Amino acid sequence: MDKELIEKIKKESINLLILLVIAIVIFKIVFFKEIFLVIIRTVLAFFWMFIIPGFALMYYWHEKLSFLERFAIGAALSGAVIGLSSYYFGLLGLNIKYHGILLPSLSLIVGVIIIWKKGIKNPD
Amino acid sequence: MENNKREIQKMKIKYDLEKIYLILMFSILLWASSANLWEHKLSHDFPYGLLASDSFQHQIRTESIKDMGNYRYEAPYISAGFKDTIGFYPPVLYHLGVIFSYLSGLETYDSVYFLVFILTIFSALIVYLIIKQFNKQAAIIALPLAILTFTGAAYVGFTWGSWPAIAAQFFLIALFWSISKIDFEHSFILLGIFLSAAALTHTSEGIFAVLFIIFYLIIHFIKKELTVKRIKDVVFGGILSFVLSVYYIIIFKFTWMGVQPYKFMIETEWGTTPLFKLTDFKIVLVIFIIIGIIFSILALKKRVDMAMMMGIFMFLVGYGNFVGFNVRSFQIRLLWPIYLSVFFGLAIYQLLKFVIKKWRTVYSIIIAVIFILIFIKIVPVPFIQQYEKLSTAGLMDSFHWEALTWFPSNTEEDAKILFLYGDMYNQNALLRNIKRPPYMVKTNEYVAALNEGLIKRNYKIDLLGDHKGVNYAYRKSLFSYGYYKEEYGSDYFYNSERDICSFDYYVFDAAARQNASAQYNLLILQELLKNGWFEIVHKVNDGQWDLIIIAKNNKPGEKCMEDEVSTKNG
Repeated sequence: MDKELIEKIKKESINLLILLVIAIVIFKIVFFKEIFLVIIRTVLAFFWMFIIPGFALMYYWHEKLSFLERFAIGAALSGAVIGLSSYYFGLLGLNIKYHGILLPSLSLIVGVIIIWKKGIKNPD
Repeated sequence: MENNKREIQKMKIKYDLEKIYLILMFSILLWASSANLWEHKLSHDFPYGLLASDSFQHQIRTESIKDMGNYRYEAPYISAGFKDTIGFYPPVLYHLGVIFSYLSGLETYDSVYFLVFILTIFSALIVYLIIKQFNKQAAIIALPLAILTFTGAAYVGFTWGSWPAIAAQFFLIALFWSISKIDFEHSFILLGIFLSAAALTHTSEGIFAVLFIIFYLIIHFIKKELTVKRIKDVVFGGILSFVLSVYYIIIFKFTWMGVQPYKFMIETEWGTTPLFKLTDFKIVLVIFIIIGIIFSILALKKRVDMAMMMGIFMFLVGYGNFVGFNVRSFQIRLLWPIYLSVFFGLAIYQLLKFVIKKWRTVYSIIIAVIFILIFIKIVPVPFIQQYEKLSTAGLMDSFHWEALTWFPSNTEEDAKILFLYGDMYNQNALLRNIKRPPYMVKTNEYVAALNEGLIKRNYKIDLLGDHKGVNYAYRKSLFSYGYYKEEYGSDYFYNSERDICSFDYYVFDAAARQNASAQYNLLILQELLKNGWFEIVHKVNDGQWDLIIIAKNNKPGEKCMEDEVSTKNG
C-alpha cells in the first residue's frame, strides 16, 4: 500500500473526528434548549449517513480534490447514493428500517475498496 | 530557506482563517435556518414550524413510508382509502427522511424538515466551492448572502413546504460542481448520480439540470472548448442517470406528465404563496447583483467559468415563469440568495480591487463579517434586505396533535372519520395524521347552515386525499395505468352530499376563532348523543376546557336524526 496514502487517510480521519466534535459543539450552542443526547445522536446520524460514506467514495478523486471539496460533495454523493438505493431496495422488499445501517455500510465498503485499489495502483 | 518557512506559515494562517470563517458561517446558517424557528430544539412533541398544508403533505408521506417500509404505494390514508395507488411523488427526500429518523431517533416530522435545512446549508457551502474555483475572495464575500435564504418570501419555501424542490436543488448544485470537474477521470459517475438524485427528489430540477447541460455544451461549443472527452462524459452520465431513474420516470410519465403536461402560459403570481422577487433584496443588493452580472458577462467572454454560468442560468430560470415553468421557476427563486451570491461577491471584490491593488484574504473576511452583521440585523442598514427572526409552532398545536394521533391506535383501519369545522382543517393534509382516510365537512355550506339555524343530516362532505392532479393513479401493468378519480368520478370524492349518520367517528372542535362555529359543532354533537349508540370516546383538555371531542357512532348508517333540526329547539 502507498505509505503516503495511509498517512493521508490517518490525517484526514483525525480531521473528520475534529469536525465531528466541532459540529457537536455548534449544535449544542445553536440548539441550546435540546438535551445533549439528542444533539449527539443527531450529529452522529448525520455523519454516519452523509459525511463518512461520501467522503470514502470521494477518495476515488482524492489526488485532485481538497479535503473540503470531498467533505461537501461527499455529503451530496452520499445523500444521492443512499436516497436512490433506498428507494430501489425498498421496492425489492428490504424494509427501510434496515437501510440506515446497511446502505452507509455498503457505501463505506465500496469506499474502502476504492482506497485499497488506489493504494495498490500506486505502491510505495 | 527562512523566506520559504515564512511563506508556508502565511499560507497556513490563510487556510486556518478560511476554516474558521466557514465554521462560523455554518453556525450562523444553522441558527438562521432552523434553530430560531424551532425554538432552539431539535426534537418536538408535534410537527413544529409547519405553516401550510404542503409541509404536512411531505411530513405525513415520510411517516407513511416509515410505516410501510417502502414507497411502492401511497398509504391508503393519503389516497382516499385506495390501497394500490402508485407511490407517485419523487421519493429521495422521503427515504432520506425516514432513514435519518431511524438513525437520529427524531420523529419523521423533525427528521425530514431538518434535512431540508441542513442540505440547504450544504448547498451554500458547495456554491462557495464553485465560486472559489474562479475567485476565492469573491467566494468568501459571497457566502453571507446565503443567510437571506432563511427570511422573507424565500423562507416560505421551508415553512410552506417546497421541501422536495429545495432538496433537489442541493443535488442540482452538486451537479454544477461535478460538471466543473468534467475533465476528471470517470467524472460521468458523479454527473449521472447527481442528475438522477435531482430528478428523483423533484423532477423539475432534473429537467433544469438537463437544460443546464445543454447550456454548458453550447457555451463550450461556441468557445471551441468542447472536447470529445467532455461529450463522452456527458453522454455516459446521461445513460447512467437514465438507468438509475428509469423505473420512476415511467411512473412520472403516467402520473404527473400524463395529467399535468407542460403548457405554455405566463404567470406572475404564485397563488396565495408569497413570491420571492429580485427587489426583495432591496436596492443596494440589487445594484451589487446587477454589477456582478455585468462583470460576469464580461469575464465569460474571456473564460468559461462554472460559477458565472450557474449564476446566470439560475437567474434566468428564476424568470422561467414567462416561458411556462411557473411554480417551478418560483421554487428556483427560493435559493436565489445562494445562486446570485456569485454576482454579489464578485461585484464587491472587483469594485474594491479598483481601489486596493494588493488584496489579502483577511480583507475579504472582514468585508464578509461586516455583511454578516448587516444581514443578521446587528447593524440595521436601510435599503438592504435583512434577516427577520421567525419563531412559531406553526399550524399544529399539542392538543390537535393529541387528537389526531389518537386514531391510529384506537380505531379500525377502515374507520370512516368525519371532521366538522376546525380552524386549521382547511390545510387539510395535516388531517392525514389520523392514518385513516379523512372526511371533512365543506366549510361554506356548514357556515350557511349555521346562519340558517339548522342542523342538517346531509352536508356536502369531501373525501380527502392527495390526488395532486394525478387522479389516484394505479398500475395495471408496467406501461398501463388506471385512474380512480376518473373511474369513480369527482362526485365520489368532492362536494358530495353525505349522511352524517354514516360515519364511525366524529371530531368536534369545541374552540374556534369564531365562537359560533364551535358552538354549532357542539349542538351537532348534542343532537347525535341523543341516540344511545353514540358515545364520547376521547376528549382533549387544556386543564380547564374540553378543546376537542371525539365521538363514536356504534351503528353507522342507522338514522340518527331528522333531515333538518332547528338549533333553537335545543
